[in-house]
Amino acid sequence: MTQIRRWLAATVGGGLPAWPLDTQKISSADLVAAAQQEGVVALAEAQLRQAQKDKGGPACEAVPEELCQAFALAVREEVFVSMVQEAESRRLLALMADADISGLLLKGSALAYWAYAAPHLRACSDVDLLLPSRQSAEELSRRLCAAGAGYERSDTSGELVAYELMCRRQISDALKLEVDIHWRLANSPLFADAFTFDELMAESIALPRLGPGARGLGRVHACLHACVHRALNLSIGVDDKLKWLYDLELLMALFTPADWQRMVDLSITKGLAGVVRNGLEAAGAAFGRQLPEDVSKALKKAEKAELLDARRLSDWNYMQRKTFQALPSLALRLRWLWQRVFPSRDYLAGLYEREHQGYALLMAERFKQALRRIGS
Amino acid sequence: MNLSDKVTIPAQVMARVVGDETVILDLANGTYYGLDPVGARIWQLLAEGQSLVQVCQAMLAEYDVTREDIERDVAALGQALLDKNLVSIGT
Repeated sequence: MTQIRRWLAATVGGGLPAWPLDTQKISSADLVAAAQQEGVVALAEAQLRQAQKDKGGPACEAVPEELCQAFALAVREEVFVSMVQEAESRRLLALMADADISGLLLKGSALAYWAYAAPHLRACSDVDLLLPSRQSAEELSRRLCAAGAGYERSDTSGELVAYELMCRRQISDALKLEVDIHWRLANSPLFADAFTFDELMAESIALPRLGPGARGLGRVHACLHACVHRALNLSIGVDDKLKWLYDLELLMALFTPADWQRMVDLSITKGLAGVVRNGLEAAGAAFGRQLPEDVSKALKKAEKAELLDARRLSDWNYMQRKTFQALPSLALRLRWLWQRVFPSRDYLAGLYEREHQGYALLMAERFKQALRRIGS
Repeated sequence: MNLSDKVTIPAQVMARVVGDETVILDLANGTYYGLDPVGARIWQLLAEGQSLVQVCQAMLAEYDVTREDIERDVAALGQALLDKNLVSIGT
């Protein structure tokens, strides 16, 4: 972990670390930029502000005023985005209620409204929804993109590569809102069928701040999903962000003994013991929390029998192979391969943020990146 | 704007407390504003449905200021919020 990341993790975790950092090389702007990258600006700002209030304490005296001001300025942007997302989430949920479409908010879209002390403390770049079927996802997408609703549909890489539809709306010149409408909990055949919508809904929790029909995953499912989501990010080369690890830290802090047992049972039943242990230990390492011994033991024992080696989540070749093998028929495997190798032009343009580039150049970039991954 | 006016906060205006500050967002045009702790307290009282006169009374009880000063400040903030369409004058 770099010095900046260590400082951020310690600050977010509530213990302001030793100061100064190497301030000849690290500026306030560097720290704010790193916090934005990690999705923890608001969390860090809240801790810095608290340290300033605890005047006379060693942590407070150490933190430069300039740094506190830089974070205070940056957090306003976070709050703005959070409020816009809250308003859009309510609008979206009202539209769903009108259409009699049920759904569950996922990840930060839900956690912000019950696990965190204030919604803006959980940085969210989009709204994630899980619906019961592809059909209902298509219906919601159609309504969002209808005239007057303000959204445009954007392509995914293929319905076997991503079990989701994406709709985007330009809120302002600088702010675009994306709604990801999933019909399976994870975007990979490895984990997509681990949970049905009905079993998730059965243990879901209300999110009253967002309206009467708003619901999110229950504590245990939210934790499992966070571990799976992390595993998929690692598999495509996206490193752990502190905000995802902090989600797990918060959830673990809220767990009762019954929650821990339920989580262990589900992890074993669903073949996720390795992925879960990997995720929880990563969060524990970042924020100084030890897994309960019996939990760690049970997960370690169960993962030995699993087909997926969770120590290799960041091995792109390995994870692609495992994904391919997870598809149940040759026809599906070939179709998946085609979608992976030849996604649509619009998907690639969005992925590489090259809206006006032609398909040939976009594919050239794709092959270049694939060769880099295969060779690593 | 007079202190006898009752102000209401339109539905498209949202506010969020961040420490001692309050950030206000006008969803209609996507702009946002920050209020310092005193302004944030006035906003909070307005959001509770209190009239400007009631706001002045409450602020007098909470701050060590003269009636004249608080009435001037509350009226000035109220006018500024009205000019930015963050509040409207209700009945």
